[in-house]
Amino acid sequence: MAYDGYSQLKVLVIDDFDNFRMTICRMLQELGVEDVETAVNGAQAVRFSRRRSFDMILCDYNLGSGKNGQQVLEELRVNKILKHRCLFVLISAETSRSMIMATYDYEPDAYLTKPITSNILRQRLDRLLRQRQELLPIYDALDEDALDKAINLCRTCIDSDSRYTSQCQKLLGNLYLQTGAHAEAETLYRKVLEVRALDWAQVGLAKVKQAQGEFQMADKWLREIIVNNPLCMQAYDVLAENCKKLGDDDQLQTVLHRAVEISPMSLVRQLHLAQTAVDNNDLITAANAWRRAVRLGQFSCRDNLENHLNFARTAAALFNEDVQLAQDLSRDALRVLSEIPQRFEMTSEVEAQALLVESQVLAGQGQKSKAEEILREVESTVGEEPAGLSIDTQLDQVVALKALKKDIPAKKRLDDIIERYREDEKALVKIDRLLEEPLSEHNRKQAKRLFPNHLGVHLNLVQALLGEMEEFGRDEGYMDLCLATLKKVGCRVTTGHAQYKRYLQLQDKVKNLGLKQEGTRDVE
Amino acid sequence: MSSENSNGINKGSKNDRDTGLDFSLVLASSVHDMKNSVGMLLNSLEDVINSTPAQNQEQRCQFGVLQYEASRINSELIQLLSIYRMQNNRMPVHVDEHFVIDLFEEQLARNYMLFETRGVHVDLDCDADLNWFFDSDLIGSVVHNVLVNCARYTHKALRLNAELEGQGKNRVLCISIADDGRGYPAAMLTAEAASIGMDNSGDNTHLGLFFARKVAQMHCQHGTCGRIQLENNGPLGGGVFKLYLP
Repeated sequence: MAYDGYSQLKVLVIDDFDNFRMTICRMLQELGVEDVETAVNGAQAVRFSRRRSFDMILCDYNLGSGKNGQQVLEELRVNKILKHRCLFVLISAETSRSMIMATYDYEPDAYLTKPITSNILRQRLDRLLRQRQELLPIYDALDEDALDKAINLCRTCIDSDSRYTSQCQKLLGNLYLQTGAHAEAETLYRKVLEVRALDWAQVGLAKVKQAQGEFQMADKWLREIIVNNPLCMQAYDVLAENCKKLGDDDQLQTVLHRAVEISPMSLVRQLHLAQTAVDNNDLITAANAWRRAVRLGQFSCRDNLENHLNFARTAAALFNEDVQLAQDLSRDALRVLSEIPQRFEMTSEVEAQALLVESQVLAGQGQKSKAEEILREVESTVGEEPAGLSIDTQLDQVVALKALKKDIPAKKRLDDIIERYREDEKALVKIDRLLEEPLSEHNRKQAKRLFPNHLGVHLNLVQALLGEMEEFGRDEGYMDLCLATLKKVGCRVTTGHAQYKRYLQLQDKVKNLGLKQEGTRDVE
Repeated sequence: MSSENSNGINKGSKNDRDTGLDFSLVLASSVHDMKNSVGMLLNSLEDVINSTPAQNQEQRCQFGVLQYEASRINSELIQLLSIYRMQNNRMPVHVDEHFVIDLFEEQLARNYMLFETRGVHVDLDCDADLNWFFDSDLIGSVVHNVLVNCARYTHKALRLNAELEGQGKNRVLCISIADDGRGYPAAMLTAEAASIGMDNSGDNTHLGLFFARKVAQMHCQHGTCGRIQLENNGPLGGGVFKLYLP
């Protein structure tokens, strides 16, 4: 069945090769399209799409230097430039799995593999455009944000047993979830699942359970979906969300880790993993994830200065845990820092931050005099009054001092900062990373997880709990946590470990406290 | 959900234990490059044929050979890559509801030039409203391979047909591709022959059949999995390839 509306379409063709662009344009003209615009790179394509609304965009994956096709789609989606009524067709010669998986995340309407002949193009476009024609009222309603109208249109379409019932069910399920119509969503997904166990309906049903607060059930179902189809990325995303709701940061990291193994080119998941790993004090995972995020971020609209700084910060911090890996990463970190001025708008604060982090990395590498020189340079420009700077910059300065073993000025600075931010829970969470014992409520609760390379954190927890018990009296829950934590640390700590002495001291203290309390009880 | 494996999330990757050179990985990435190159080659070839149409029968034949051989390399490489991914459990199976006619039309459009240059007429017999559940990329590859193979062995005609068989839970989609050639060799008609390496006598590794069988097996419902079947003396007098999907 042919489509007969080609002459009315506004089409944008994006490719860096003149030849291919011309071939596609010629094919489109043969189909009857009169209004074809072309763009030679991603930036131009995004500009054109902002300027006018197209009915269809045909975009090659490989666009030479600059954004690739997936990043064009990403920017159009993230900035809500692409309307529902516009079809986005991605064309590619390469079909590497990770590339396709990364592209799926942004849901192109179709995926065309080269070689493309006029017959192939005609067949695919006929099909896509016929579907679009029938669903256009729904798309328009979505573009107007008229969700109730879209819901009614979807229902009508499904009731009339339309050829596109399946598409309408997918749209309708999402709309129900968006509008909080959980019961309706559940009925819809269950009806689909009665016929066939389709991934999208299973994930949909898990989302319903999540929205209804049944996190355990959602967890179980999502894991079952993943067992059956380990490449269902949407299931990982919903599961990650679910782990967060369950407050299980360990599982959250495991899920994200697995997800980026399967689809390594997703910037969003790499960033999520990096942030989660930092919260979990797993610097090795964090550094690697940030390194990949920086690389993937090139030309992406989600690229962000913080990712670059965070990568370098983590690489510098890693010198305390894994010198070998830190050496390896720090070279890359210095390069990333040196590229900041070309990639981001520089303010005096950004400049100071980049220099402070550079100083940290250099100090880790053992380039003391260079690191000191840079630190002095920053201090001479920002002066002794750092209050106008962000908490991050102030902490960067403390870390730089620490990296250079200037412990006394570092401590003084840190004490000042703590004084200034005592009431600011968010800042305290950040400050905690530099302390022996956590100050923020949040971190006291979180510190109990064990990461083999960060025994200090667990000892910090024991110390904090001891402090509390010494002040307010023995607490059974605290005591159990102390003993369990020490046991975990005991399995990992070796006599040569930097934390070994502290471990022994804390163990003694806990034992004494335990005996003392036991003793008191005896007297009673 | 107590054991490590049952939750589907394991931290360690399979490749961890493999520190040496993994030849299959080398092969796979090289196959990937080759496939892209052949893709470009096919594209240019298409352009050449379009811009300088064949002047006589001899040229038409030559174009046909070029087209056929390049398509064959392309589909063999795609198969190799797919089988590699299947073995590493990294083959995404994306089962969804599709119209069978769309699948057929896509493959016919893709192989239009091949049939044109070889003078093969294709008869499409499929209800436009017939829909079923399958991974359209994988089943598309299977149909593509069979079509490319048939283009070589058929005389003048091919017939594509799809219909539902059975009732209720036993309902299956049957896709059949019939030709008017000499039919499949007797050895291929037995199920066992469709495994790799069974037939070392000729130049045919039966990779295509192996791939088709694997893809069919990846489509399961109510405890039954898909299967393929080869027959002779079909509706056009030649062989018939049948693919059953539950």
